[in-house]
Amino acid sequence: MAISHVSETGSSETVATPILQAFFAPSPYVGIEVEWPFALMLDSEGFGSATARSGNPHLGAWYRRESGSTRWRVGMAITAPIATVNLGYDGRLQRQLYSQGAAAWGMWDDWRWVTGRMAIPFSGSLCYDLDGAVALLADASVGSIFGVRSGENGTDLLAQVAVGIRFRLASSFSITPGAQTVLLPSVSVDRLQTAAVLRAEWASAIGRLFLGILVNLDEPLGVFGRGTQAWGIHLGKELDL
Amino acid sequence: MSRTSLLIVLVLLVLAGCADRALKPCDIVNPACQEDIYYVDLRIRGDGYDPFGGIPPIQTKTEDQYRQDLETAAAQAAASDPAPQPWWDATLALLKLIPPAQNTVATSIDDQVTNTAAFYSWDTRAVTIIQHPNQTSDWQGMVQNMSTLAHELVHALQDRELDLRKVQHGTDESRAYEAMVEGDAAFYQRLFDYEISLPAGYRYKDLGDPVTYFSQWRDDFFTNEFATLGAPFFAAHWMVYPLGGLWQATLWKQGGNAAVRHGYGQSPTRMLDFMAGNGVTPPATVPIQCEPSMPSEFMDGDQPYGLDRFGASEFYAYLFAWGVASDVARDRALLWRNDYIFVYFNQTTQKTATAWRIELASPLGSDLLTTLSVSNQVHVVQNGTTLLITTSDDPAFLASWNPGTACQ
Repeated sequence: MAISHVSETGSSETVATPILQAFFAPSPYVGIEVEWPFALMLDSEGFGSATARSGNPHLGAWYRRESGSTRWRVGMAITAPIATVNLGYDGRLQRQLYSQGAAAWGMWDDWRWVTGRMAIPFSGSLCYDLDGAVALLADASVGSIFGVRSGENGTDLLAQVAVGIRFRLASSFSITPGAQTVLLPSVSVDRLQTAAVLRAEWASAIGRLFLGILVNLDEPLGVFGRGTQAWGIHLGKELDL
Repeated sequence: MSRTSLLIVLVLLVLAGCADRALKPCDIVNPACQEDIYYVDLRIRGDGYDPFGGIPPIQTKTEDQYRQDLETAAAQAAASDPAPQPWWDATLALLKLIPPAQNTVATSIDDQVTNTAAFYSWDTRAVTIIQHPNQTSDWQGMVQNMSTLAHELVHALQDRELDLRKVQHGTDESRAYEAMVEGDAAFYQRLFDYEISLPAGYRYKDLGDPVTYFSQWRDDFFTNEFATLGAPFFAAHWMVYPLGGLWQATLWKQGGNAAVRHGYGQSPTRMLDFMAGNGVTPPATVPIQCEPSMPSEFMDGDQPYGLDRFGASEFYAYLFAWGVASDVARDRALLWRNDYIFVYFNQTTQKTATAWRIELASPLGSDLLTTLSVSNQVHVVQNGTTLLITTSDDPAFLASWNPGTACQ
């Protein structure tokens, strides 16, 4: 789940984007996953004005192997175009909900939140253990996104790359500083969205807990440049029990 | 580097990024200037970034190119619509809402070419900038153009949120919808103006509360501006800017951008409510369930040729057109509770007859009725809180026409 909070003159809003995931692994090398994202917004108008929308769920499959110090995984998925914005009095609220939801993730996996479109993303990830305490991580995806409903049309490309270094500070605790960049659709004013990420992971008795902070760096969302001047308040919190 | 030093460097970097954000006067033909304006719009509206919305296509045209476009469009409109609805032209002229037939097209094109800085087309979803000679010769002109482009880019954002092509039922509802749309753009345009860093030694003389700004604009609109905007019927159209802007500014003052977003759903569907303002409990619309009696030769089958609800804004325009002082007209227009205008046309004689029934909260004074009754071509009858205005360009028919007691 990612949470972002925007405070501005006279009002504020908090957007939470819980993502429900389910895995099924018929073998140690192959997995099937279903993911369903949601976006919830509560603003200063009160609980009665809360807004909730579904993102685009996806069905994916992956294949993973391990060789010495290296583990890698490749996969593909297809999304269902559930996310839409009604052109009406609630349209701005709904658009806001999806936009802020995407911003909380630094536009990562933006096919979750794009409206009236579906996507077929391909992904790959790599983990290389330098020793028992330090590991190099890389993650990349590329997806074709095409309009299918609500007046959206055309095909565009979304690509993303993330790198990080995981430091295992204790047997059950690690932190991972990293960076990510997302290639935005061609209609965007700025084609890249870059963010810095710091993630802490704790393997507890009740499962793995994650806490991440994501700060968008450049335009269109970042703290530098003109952009939406978010001042780095795009915080991400991830919980995986 | 120690952690403290690293933190200090990070803070300085962030501050440096912010220090560079002052928006200085720039030429809106320049793409970098356009992008800066777009981002400021996003930020002041509190909107996230929609990567598939992006900045709309922006094209630049010279005055000559724009003039050619307008002339072509006017010629095409005339060719494709050789028989416009003459009964509406006659009705509006009889009610003094538009002047008698004249060549308004040429005047309109000259006016548009000279005074248009930019516009957003709902059809093409693109912004067109009109490049004027000397538009960068002074910073005031650049600031004005930036402000206009900011307004038009809000329309581009709205086009991903609202149905800007929505067809409304009648003039009153259309204008109320437009007041919401244009009010939103006018309000954020005003906030945008505050973002521009003026040259040293200059500042906005009226920089302050947006509600105060739009309240003053509204008052000035009725007192001075309306009279300068040409035909009253079209001048009333311009009401949507100050009244819609005031509506949105009031919401914003109460609850910021969140209140404005949620306020769309409660936006009025009558111009009366925009004229009265946010703080007034909207009075109920009085039903009208009658239709004037009319000889069959004036009917389109069993229907009138035209039927519309003009609303309080056109009632104001009507009062103004007949010489009622602006403050009195504004006050009496707030008495509006409903209206229907029935327009009839005799195809044989090419004559028009019109009955406009207006329901009011309280009757108009006798002196006001006298003011409205100076023409033989227009009959004004008040029965309780019902005002019935009948008119025709066929004096003989008007003299004999009895619309029936059911509608009086």
